[in-house]
Amino acid sequence: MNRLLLAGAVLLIVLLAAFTVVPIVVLLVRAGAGEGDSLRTLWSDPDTLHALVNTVVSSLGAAAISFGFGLPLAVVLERTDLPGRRFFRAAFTLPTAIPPYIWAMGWIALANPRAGLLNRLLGAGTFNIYTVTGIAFVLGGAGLPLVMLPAAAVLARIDPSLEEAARVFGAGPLRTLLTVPVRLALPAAASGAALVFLFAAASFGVPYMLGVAASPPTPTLTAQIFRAHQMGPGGLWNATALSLLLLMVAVVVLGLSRLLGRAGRTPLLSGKGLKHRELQLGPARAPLTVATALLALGLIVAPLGAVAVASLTTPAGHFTVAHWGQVLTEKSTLQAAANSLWLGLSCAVIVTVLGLLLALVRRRSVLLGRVSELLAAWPYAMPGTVLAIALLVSFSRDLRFVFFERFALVLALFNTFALLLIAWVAKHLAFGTRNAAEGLARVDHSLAEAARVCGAGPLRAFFHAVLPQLRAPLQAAFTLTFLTCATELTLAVLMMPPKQNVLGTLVFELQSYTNPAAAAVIACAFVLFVLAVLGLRALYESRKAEAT
Amino acid sequence: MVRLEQVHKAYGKTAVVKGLSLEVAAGQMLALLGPSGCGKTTSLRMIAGLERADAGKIFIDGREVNALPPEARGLGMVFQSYAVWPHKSVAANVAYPLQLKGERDLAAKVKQALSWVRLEALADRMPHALSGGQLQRVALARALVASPKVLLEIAALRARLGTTMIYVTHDQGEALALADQVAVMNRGVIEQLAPPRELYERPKTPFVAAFVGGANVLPGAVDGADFLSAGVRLRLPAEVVPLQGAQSLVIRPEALVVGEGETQLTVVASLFLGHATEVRLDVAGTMIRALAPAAVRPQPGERVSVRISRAQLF
Repeated sequence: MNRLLLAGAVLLIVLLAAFTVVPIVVLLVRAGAGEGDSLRTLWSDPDTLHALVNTVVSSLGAAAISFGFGLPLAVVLERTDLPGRRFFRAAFTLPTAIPPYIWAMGWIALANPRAGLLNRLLGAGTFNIYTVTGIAFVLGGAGLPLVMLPAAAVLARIDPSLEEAARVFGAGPLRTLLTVPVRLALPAAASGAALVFLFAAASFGVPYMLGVAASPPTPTLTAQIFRAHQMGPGGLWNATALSLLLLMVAVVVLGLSRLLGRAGRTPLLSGKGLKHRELQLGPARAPLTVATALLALGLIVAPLGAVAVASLTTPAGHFTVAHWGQVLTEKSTLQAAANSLWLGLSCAVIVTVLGLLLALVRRRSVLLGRVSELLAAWPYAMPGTVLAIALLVSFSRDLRFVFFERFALVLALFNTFALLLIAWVAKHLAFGTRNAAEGLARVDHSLAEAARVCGAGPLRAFFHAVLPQLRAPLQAAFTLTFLTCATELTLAVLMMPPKQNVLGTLVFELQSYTNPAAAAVIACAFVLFVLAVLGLRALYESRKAEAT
Repeated sequence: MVRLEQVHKAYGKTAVVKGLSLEVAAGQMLALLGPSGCGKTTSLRMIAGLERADAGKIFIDGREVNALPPEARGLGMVFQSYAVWPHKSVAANVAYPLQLKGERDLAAKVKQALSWVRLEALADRMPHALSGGQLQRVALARALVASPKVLLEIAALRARLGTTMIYVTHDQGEALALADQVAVMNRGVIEQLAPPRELYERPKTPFVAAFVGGANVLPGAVDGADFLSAGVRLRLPAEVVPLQGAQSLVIRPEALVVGEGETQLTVVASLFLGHATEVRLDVAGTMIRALAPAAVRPQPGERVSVRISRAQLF
């Protein structure tokens, strides 16, 4: 039985490696082999250099913006008596559920230099979102939760006696707040900011939508890779070489953030049931509330509102509801929505199940656990564009695995939904493993043992005693994966089979090339869908809390 | 009912249980008593089948069970953490072993089991709405409901039941009060297996004497009719045979009489216990305890005379 389990675990890991590690090796080898333009010509091309600079500058800007807003927001929302904290927390967490390009569409509607709503109000040219600064700003807003949530989690877990000690030794409430919790939350916020950098450098939709329309165009690496890929078969090799450059940027930042994290790690964070004293804001309460509300309005409400307005406006600027009925019943929309639905659901199921299996492997074997943890973590950290190109290069028709010089194995996955699904699963597997592992860590072994002694075999004990305790974390992994995949763009735009669409690519095409108003309708419908899901869940949770 | 023969268990290179043999007759209660890390919980888990013995044999009801998984052993167990499943109601927790056995009449049997632990009123509650003591009773009802051959317990116990029981504890008072037999374990071996009274009155090793009766253990050697411990001469009571080659003297606190005898010792501390005074005395660096009447109140630093009324040599 144990041998069988072990063999299964090894098989699972080998299969995972085949779709995550092997493609990257192929990417490295092929980029080195230098088909298409040689590496050196491509990397010394001024366009490439320009794109690299744009990528680094916009990502640094995004990281700075998320950090600058995210850490103070975490402190104010977690540790003060600001009114409406629950609402604000929900509002600023919204970017985790709504894809970045929808925020970009909102800002295009607000601040495109000619026809943006703000510019119509304040005079043409007041704001221009088609700049590197604009890209950094939109990505910074979209990345805000990556800083705010981990910082808030640390703030909630700090042992209150640490602060009480500071108070006893004579520090005032504000000083205590700054010297103990804020100081301890800094490493989490800093590594969150590094994540924002990675997320920004890897993002495609926002820089493409904002950078291509700029004059002069401000392409980033991901946009250049997309463009090379669009050139046809030869372009794929250039895309490969550019991907290598993007991968290097990501690896450097990842290494730096690891170092940062190690230096600032604090082991003092402890258990549960801790009650923190809230900082009484006193006379600062009103102005701080207004400032937070303005920030929520500017960062969250305004762009989403602008998307709604854009969906209800004709090109000439008149109000109309005609778009909605038209767009939502269009065959292409329905087709894309159906694709997104089944692909997203499949991906969410696979990620949740695989995540649980890997978490179980991790509990049994330290070595296999390490390996599987790495296999799940690394595609998540890797830019999606790089993963997509690596998979495309690995599974293109001209690559054959030849065994014993006889059997040629061609995995004809190129241009199929299957390859896109594999890519999505690899990219988001970390959602599943992380949630399942955290959930499992909280389940005491004795729950399963009690079932065994009561007469249940190992499988029954797992299904009856352990699995029910994992419902919440697995549900969270499922929902997060589904929502992310349902609107995924970065991987989909490169891997979509010809003449097919998912919601992300459809919105992207409509917005960039043909019909921004139609794009706004779909985006708006999706936002409403997310709000409804989140609202229902909040209602369900509060009902449940009341019932107990 | 339960028999262990030369059972061994090691985790990596650390041997946790070394050659454990014991037997519990049907209807009897055995307490495994010892300090934490002595191997008592591991022994219980091996009987339950939750750990596999490296060597030796385990019999339940005359049948060797080494290769049997826990679910096939027909036992009941109460865990230290109680392990009451949080997603099931009290009644559903208790019904589970019956469901697995495919029994009918669940409701009546669950009701009866809950009545044993006086929890009928809470049958529909979820575990998070219960106190620690109530959870413990749910765990007990669940362990008893399917009439197991043997009940294994790690949690604190307050009553005797009719079933065969093996019970793990580090509380000597509980073990002495309830068990038919007590196995005192230390570092993976049983130091003594005996009924409570015998254990208290005739401990076989200094460890058992110290752990069960809270006795003082003094290192040293016999010298004539005296015992010499680090230069301090103690007169042995007349009934103690001055065994040559003995290495330690074991004296219970109540057998150390303060205010009589020839040996002079320095008082380290004097603790008022209400019904008595515990006098702590210094024997060349080793602290020993004497139980004196409440009226005796020596001051720290004071020299007092001490007489040994009963003692054992090992």
